[in-house]
Amino acid sequence: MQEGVSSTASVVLFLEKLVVDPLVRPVLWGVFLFGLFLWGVMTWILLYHWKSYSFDQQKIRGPKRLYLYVSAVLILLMFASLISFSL
Amino acid sequence: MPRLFLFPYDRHTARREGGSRGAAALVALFGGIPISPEAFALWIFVSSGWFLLGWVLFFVIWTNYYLDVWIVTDRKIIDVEQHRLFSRDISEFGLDRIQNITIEVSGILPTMLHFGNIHVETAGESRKFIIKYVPHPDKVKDVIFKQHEEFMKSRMGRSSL
Repeated sequence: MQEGVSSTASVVLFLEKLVVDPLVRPVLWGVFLFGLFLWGVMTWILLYHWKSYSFDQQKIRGPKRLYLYVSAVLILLMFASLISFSL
Repeated sequence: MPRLFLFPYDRHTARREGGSRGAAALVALFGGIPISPEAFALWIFVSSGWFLLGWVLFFVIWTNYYLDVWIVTDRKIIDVEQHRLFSRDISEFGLDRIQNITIEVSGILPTMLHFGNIHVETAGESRKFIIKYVPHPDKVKDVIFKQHEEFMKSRMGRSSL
């Protein structure tokens, strides 16, 4: 890393280097699918705990929705950025 | 001191056939540093992934906290302790066995936000019952004491009959 280059610039440089690497696209798709699988497993575990052990099913509804909505937005964002990166 | 920037940006934009150079520059988020759309998409992908990981971890921690409860009835207290996912203890003790209740509020944040730990010592039990990070621990202590007093009164009333 060259002296005097800010951290933002070094991040940009790193990203630009990755863009030209032909291996990055399949690796990113793999990371995405693996991450989606892990998220599914963790979500199933969390939903199971909330359903089985929560004392107030009405109260848990709010956090459950928040968790699912924000997760869905982030996953869609990842998918859209991956599609635009791959095109 | 002048900062030195090196960008392979022109190389990438030239690579794209008929690339519109005006639309290619995304500079606002990076403090005036030009970035190609591919690198920007990569940045969004990585950031969203990190946020998603943090989001799931936050809910795992929150679930451990949320499912850690005490149920105070008119006869006993049931302590459900969630250690982590798929690991929980459920124990109970009679209100007549309560010997001492201690509230622990230490630090600026717990004092300002009114939360703390409650320790309950019981007769004949080697373990201490602790519930951590309870909102308004003084009120919880009052509820337990009130239940304890009522239980002892009802018990004495029954024994005097």
